[in-house]
Amino acid sequence: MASGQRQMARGILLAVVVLVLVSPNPLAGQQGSNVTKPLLLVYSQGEPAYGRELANILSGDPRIDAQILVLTDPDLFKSMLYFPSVKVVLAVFNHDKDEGLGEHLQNFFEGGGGMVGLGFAGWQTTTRQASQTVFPLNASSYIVGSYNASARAYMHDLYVDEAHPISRDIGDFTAYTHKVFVSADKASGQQLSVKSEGEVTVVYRDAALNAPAVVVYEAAGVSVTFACFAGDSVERAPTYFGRFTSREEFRKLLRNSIAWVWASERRYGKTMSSALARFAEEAHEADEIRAQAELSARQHKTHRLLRTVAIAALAVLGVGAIHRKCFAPSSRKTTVEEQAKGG
Amino acid sequence: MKSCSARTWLNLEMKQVVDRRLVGIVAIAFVLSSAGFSLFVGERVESPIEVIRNEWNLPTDSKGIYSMPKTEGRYTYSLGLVVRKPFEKLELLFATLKNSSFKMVGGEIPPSASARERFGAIVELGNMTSVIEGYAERYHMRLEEHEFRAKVGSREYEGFVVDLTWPIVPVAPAAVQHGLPTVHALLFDPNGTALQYYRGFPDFFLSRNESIIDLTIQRNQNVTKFSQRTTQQGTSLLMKDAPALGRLAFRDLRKEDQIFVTVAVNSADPDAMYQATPARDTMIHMILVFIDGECYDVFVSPIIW
Repeated sequence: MASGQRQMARGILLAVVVLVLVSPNPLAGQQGSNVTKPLLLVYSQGEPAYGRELANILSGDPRIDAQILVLTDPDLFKSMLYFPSVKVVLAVFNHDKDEGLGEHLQNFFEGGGGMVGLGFAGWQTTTRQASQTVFPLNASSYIVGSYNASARAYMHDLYVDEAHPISRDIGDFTAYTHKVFVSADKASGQQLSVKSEGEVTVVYRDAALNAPAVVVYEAAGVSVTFACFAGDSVERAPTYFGRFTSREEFRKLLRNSIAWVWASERRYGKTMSSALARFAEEAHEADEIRAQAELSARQHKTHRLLRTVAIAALAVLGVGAIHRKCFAPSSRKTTVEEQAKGG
Repeated sequence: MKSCSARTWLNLEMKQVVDRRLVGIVAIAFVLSSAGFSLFVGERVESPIEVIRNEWNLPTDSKGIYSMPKTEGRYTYSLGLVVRKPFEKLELLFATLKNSSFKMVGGEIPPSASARERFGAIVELGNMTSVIEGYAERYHMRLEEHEFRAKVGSREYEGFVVDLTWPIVPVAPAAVQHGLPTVHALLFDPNGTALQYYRGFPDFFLSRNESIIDLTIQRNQNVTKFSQRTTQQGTSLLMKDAPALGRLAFRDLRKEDQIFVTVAVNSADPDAMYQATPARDTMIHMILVFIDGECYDVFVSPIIW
């Protein structure tokens, strides 16, 4: 009786555990809705503080309903470029170092991705082929701005060349940035010397040389390339990122650029749908295998139970037979009678 | 008549020699012990697989760690498994990870921290993994996170591996899939004083088209061989056509099935193998073993370059 009650209690407990596991957790659901927004991937080459500052600038913009992940490790960034939930990439290259990312940036862009590149993004030896196919500056030289001693910064005057949503409410402005990157020949820097397959719009130009400073590119994907705003974290240096990230024009331009790319990119929807189909298929297969394994386990358990019962029954029969033969009084009586007869 | 007299004779004999009750007790004990043996010993829970081989034919250094010579030569890793209990699916996931401890950036890790907490303390990687975990839960992405134990020379380490291959690689073009470092592992000693971070690629070995001489996959009598060049007899397939990402799956496993995998590598080209990354001191060759979708074990072979 006690054993039966224990078994019943165990059964109820098991049922409760199963119910808890399979029922949707309202808290998890809330978390899920927060953490599974489209991803805005921020890559800040070698400068985590700069990356965090960019994330701060973007995080409050209602046009960009994103979860933001900041990375500075090129290997991790390279991997994440293929994660299906990434909708837009903001890549800041602060040095001319080639980290082998060009091919991967191009893959993301050709898949319809939206990207915003700053600093050395359009520099030939930093992003290789992507300096033409994604961030179409093909830059290999730069112009240093005029130095403002009171602001301890270099400055470039930028003027609007072609109207575009990203320059809305900004107009001409002075950028507190050290360099503007241009094509090899400064004289020809006035024109983009790239063989682009899509549509290029030069939104801002540097006033000193008429060189493109902010370029919008639409081909398989969409991009906004800034030929400036490479920075570092040394607060006393004229190249400190805070010199321009604190300027309202920069903040607006960055937000507008990301918002435009966010609305214009073509990768997220199709990548997510194909990836989710694949994930669902894999999950279904995993469920089937698990179900099959559970069925096999149940069959094995039943087989074991039957075997146990059979062995126990045989043992009982065996013990009964032995008992009858060796311990039963009738058997002993017969023997005694037979002995008497024999005697 | 004859049997009756024989029985009488027997009974008389037993009466004289031993009490038949004693015989009964012995017989009952024999029956019960036989039944008990069948029930408890004969039906004991067996491991579904037995590992009969899991080794590199590499020289070892003074601490007993495999040491890969930088010279031309054929060095093989062999894995041999025998199925002891039938099951549905066996998956072997190969990966080779390089010591990337110099990339590890993180804060203080309390000694009582769990393996996952230690992993999460590597700031960027921890953040990235947490983000992927959120999506994985929401969209049923396969994400493998497992604790394991590894012996490096005479020292025992605990480990934690995160395989992000499933969420990331399916979207990548085939040409770049093998170059994405999606497997991350942490090794630490039980006191939490030593910590090593390894980062690597899901495949049978690094740079399959340069470093792997041949790969043999065998299930019972069925042998499939991959090498860099096809043989004239056509018995070997091209290495580039070997199972993608070092993932092997076997279905409908029967008792006594035998699985063998042999990877032969040439260590003469370290740059190709290490893809010009600076960490060249240690790597770990790893196989995650899954039985019916559950991680059964993680085999780890540390190798010094």
